[in-house]
Amino acid sequence: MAQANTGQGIGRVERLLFTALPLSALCLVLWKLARLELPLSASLSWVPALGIDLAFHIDGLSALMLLMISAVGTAVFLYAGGYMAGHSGQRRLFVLLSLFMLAMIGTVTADHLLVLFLFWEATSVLSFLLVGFDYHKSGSRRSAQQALLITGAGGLALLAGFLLLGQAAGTYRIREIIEVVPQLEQGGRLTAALLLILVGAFTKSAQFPFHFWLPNAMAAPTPVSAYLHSATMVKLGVYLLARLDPAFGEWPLWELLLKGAGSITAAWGMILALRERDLKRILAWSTVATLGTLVTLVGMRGEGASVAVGSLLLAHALYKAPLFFVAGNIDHGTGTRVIDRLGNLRHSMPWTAAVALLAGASMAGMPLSFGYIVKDVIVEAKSAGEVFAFAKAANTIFGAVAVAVAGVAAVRVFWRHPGVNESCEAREGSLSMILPPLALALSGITLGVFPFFAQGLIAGAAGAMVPVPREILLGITLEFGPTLASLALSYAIGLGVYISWDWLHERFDAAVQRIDRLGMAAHFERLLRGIPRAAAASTRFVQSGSLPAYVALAIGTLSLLLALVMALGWSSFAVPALGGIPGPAVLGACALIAAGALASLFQKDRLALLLSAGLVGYGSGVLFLFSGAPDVAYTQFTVETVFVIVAASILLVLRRSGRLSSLPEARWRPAALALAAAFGAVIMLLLFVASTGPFDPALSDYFSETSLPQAFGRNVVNVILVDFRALDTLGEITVVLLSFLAALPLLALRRAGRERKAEAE
Amino acid sequence: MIPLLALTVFVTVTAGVYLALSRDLFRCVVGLAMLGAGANLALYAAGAKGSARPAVIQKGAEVLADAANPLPQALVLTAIVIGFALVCFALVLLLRVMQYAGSDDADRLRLAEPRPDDPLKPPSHSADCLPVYPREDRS
Amino acid sequence: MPAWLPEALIFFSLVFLLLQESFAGERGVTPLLAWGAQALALFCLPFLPGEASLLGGSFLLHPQALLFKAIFLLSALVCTLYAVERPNPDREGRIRGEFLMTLQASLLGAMVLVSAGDLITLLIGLELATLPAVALSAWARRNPQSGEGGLKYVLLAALSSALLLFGFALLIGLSGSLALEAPARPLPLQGLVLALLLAGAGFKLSLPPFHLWAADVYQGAPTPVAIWLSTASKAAGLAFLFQLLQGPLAGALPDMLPLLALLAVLAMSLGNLVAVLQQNLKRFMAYSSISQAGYLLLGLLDGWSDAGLAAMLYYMLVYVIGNLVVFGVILERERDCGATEIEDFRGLIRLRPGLATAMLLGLLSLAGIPPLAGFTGKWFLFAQAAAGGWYWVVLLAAVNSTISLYYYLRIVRQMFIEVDGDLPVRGDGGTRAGRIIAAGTVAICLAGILPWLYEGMRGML
Repeated sequence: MAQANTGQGIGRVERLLFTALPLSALCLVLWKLARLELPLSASLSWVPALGIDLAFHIDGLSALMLLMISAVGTAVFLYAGGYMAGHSGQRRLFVLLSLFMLAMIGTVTADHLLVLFLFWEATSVLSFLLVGFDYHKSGSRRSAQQALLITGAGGLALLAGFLLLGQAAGTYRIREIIEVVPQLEQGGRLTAALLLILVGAFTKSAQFPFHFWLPNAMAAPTPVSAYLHSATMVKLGVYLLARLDPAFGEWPLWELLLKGAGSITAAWGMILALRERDLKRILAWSTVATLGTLVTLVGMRGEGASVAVGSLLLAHALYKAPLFFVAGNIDHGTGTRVIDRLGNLRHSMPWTAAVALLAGASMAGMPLSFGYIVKDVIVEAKSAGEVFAFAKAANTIFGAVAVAVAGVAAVRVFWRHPGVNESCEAREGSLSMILPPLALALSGITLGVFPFFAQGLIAGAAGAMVPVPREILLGITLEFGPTLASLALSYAIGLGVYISWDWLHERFDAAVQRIDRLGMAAHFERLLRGIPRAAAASTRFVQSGSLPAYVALAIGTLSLLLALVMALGWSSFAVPALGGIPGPAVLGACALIAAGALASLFQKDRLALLLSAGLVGYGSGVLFLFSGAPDVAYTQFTVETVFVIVAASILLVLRRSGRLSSLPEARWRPAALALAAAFGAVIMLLLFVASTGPFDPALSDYFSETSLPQAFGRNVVNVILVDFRALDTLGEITVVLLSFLAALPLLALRRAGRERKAEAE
Repeated sequence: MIPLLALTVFVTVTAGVYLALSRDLFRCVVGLAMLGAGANLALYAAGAKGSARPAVIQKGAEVLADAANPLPQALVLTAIVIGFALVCFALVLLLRVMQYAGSDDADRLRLAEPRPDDPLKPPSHSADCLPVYPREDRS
Repeated sequence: MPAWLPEALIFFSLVFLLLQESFAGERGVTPLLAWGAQALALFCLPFLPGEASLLGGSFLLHPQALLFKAIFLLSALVCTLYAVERPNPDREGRIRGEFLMTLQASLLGAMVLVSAGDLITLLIGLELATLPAVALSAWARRNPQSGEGGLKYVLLAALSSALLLFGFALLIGLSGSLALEAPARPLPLQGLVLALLLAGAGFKLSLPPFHLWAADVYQGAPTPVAIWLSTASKAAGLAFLFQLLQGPLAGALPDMLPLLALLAVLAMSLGNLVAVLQQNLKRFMAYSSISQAGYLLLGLLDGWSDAGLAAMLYYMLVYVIGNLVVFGVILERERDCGATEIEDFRGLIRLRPGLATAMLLGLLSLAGIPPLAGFTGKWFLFAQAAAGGWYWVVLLAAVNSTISLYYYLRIVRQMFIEVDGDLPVRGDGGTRAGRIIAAGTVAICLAGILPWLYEGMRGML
């Protein structure tokens, strides 16, 4: 952020250096994959006292994620060089993207819940900074804040869930947890852990009901959207669910929630995609839908579903990222992303059109693309795992909308003639904006033609969820069967949706607007608006600004609390020993105190109030004097006298301003009196309680015995104060001295003010 | 002895809290001082077990014979002095506040506090900040 | 090295400051005398004996006391260094000999408090820490808010001091002893004592319902004093609580856990909720510090354990450093443009990017975002509460952390708003404060990743 004001883009060399980072990661991953060196583990003791280790483990699933992170990362870094050319914040973007990539790598390789959480939250914070990259735009800041609030809150839920899970399993190592949890009883604590973890994963992967932040996060620059919001970060939730699938997979709750939330998200995402006019937002909603499908697949049992998760993860990264790049190119070239204003771009942007076609084909699941193979796998998994026919039907519908969205992104804007608005002059971007998406889209097609390249990778990824044999076969099934029938139906409906897109858009827009008011985004907004309201209400109630109210609040709460504790411990009360009858002097002193206290309640005049209050002090002095504490008594007399003098002199000053009598106030304040009496009664009871205790004379004996021999003093209180406890007394003197030192300048200021006033007059 | 002291403490504490709950700042300070005195009394009462003779070693004796416990007394003494310092400082500060504010009304000590009747501004979508209290006129 | 050396250093520097002020006048006072003594005392701490008992057991030295003294001395040192660099007389009063002397006295009180071996020393330490802090909070004589805040502070201090004395009375009555050591068998009805003594600790820690002074005092007090109140003074409250919970109330905790849990949740929620609306950054930090005190209490919820103690101390230290950074930025901004309203931080990223970055990291650490130190501290505390079985409290704490993220982000957003037109004042900034803030920011980042600090504390206790 500090670099924000450099005002310059960065040079080619620096760009290449940044790009070398994901590229080297990619090479490393490929090399390790090719040599079949998985799984890899590493561990470093971090906080031994709490059993926290920096533990990492790379298995097939991690390797798949790593491959996506580094491959799409390389593309994004290259693309950003062209897309952001000359932008003042380019270096900031590269730094943040690099950090983000490291955080992602950490998240998918961590083998310790806390380590995973640390990197997980780091991705949230970095995505906040990336979404709010154009921080001078108000919309950017709002979107960034919304994204961080939702994923951050989810992260905290995740933390709580991890805590519970770790405590229940007795370990925070993920591999150990996976082994331990299925053997544990499905108790309340594990259920709570499960629910909290699901909240965390659902927020990250934009699942219903936390789905709405993702399209808003499209305020980010395109490279960021392509990287975070399609290929990597939003997949973290799916990754975590897949990672924990062996632990919770047998739970009915797990299956129910995953399938439920996933299906709703998929359906809702598709519907909302039809409603949008902004190309990037259309893609974002379809991403939401895909994430929903992924979550559903994780929730399903069986080998086929696991293979489907792995292949859909890969395929989605390979077609969605290029499509985002396409949207970025169009935005870059024409200045708009609204599909109504776009059309016939194939002439001015032929390469982008090619990319769009390739990626779109994969997304639509056309034969000879990797998307086709994935659809095939999914249909098989669903038909194997689902009992209900409607699940298959739903699958067809989702597929159809995917076809339509692919059509919009790949065909409509490039081939169809624009409607009302002619698109403005478009131009193709630089080479670095064409090559990366082209490479990604082409690999999607390559894998479609030669699926065995991906076989080992996907088998490894699926192996993290269920034991899968290495020799799964991803192939092109062309035999006529339910699969092909379902696909054909998808294409047909998709074509229909594509053609009637505008008509559907209007219908849906009207319908959804009504739903919007009840939707989660609206609830979230209401919640956000509710916070200040609640804050205002509680501020007005608690921090009322009235000092007596503060005193009343403190005293009242405390009396209530004390009374409660006393009531709870009533049985352990002992009857206090009443002791002997006090002598007349003590009796008189107490009468004096009580008289002073009572009299002070009635005084209107401040001086009289002061004097009656003084009676309390002097009465205490007399009491001390006649019950064996002469030193305390003398101190009390002195202090009381000085206090009265100080207070009287202040009253004298006040008299000059005519304020000798109290403020007009109700003579009786019953509420205050009731509170005061309640507190007094509680304290009186306390004294009775206190009098039941024994007296431990050990410490006093020490002073009693050593007073004369060591300190040569006969008055033990004095000896304690000036000999044994000289330090305390020094402190006491310091207290008093300081209060005078602090008070003096205050008085001096007053004098100065008076002099100034006199001069002015 | 204990019931008597407890009753005395009750009266003192009740009067002290009642005064402290007053709007009048001077009464409030006096009330708090009285509450402090009640606390000292309670402290003293809690430690006053055994003899009522002063803790002075008699002529000719080496060791303190039957006498009041000296240690709680030392604590009471400390508490008295500290309470005194606190209350004196409060008085001086009170004087100063009265002089700039021209008021000794505790309810008017609200330079920075929100007014109780301050309506919260309706939240707005466009605003960058959250709704906040409007800045008060302090003229 | 004698166990009393740090206290002696501070005391003598106090006396010398007094002498210098009296004989050489205000201009003649060298601030070096104050911060030099603090730095020296801080330097001495590792060389002190681990265990010591002086003055017939009324002055004790143990590892926990050393850790607290380190926290006190650290925040005093930073406060002093912040305070003496380009002070603003209108908003802060005269920052010279008397000011430094009063700060030293408060520091001395806090240090005595943690080493106290009996109730008398404890009381003196506590009041010696409080009273100068009251005086300091009313230091800005030309700022009416300062006086008003000071008055509220002193009146509520007197109230809490009286409540504390009632607690002491009950304690003495029940145990018959003034020593701060665990009784042979738990006292009857010790929950009552704890409730009363919580009034004293709660006042310093600003726990509800004794937090009501905090907002006005933080806002009105000179900013270095607000720093002192939010860091060392709060730590002193915690130390006071520890002294009692390890001493005469050793067995009281298990019975009172529901109360403490409630208190923690109340403090967190209240502080958070009210902080949302604040417009003044210092006032905002007051509420934030109230909620932070709530988090701190989570460490007590597993009963009483070394792990919990270490977690609380670690969090305290992390919180202190975070507050020193954030308040440092506030102070710098205040000295640049003379105000501390949140909107005065608009566009700080352009005006002083370094400060804005430090503020961002400091606030995120306070919010508990990993990998910053604030997160690690919260993790330890949450783990303690979870170990005690207080899952609902952990959950509410997590919810509160989210709300706090919301309002911390509000400030971050202001800093990142682009300013066009009338640019707020751009200051040149003090180099020393800048260096301290930078060091604190680095510490926040490192302490979150490197766990040696926690390990070391755990090992010491």
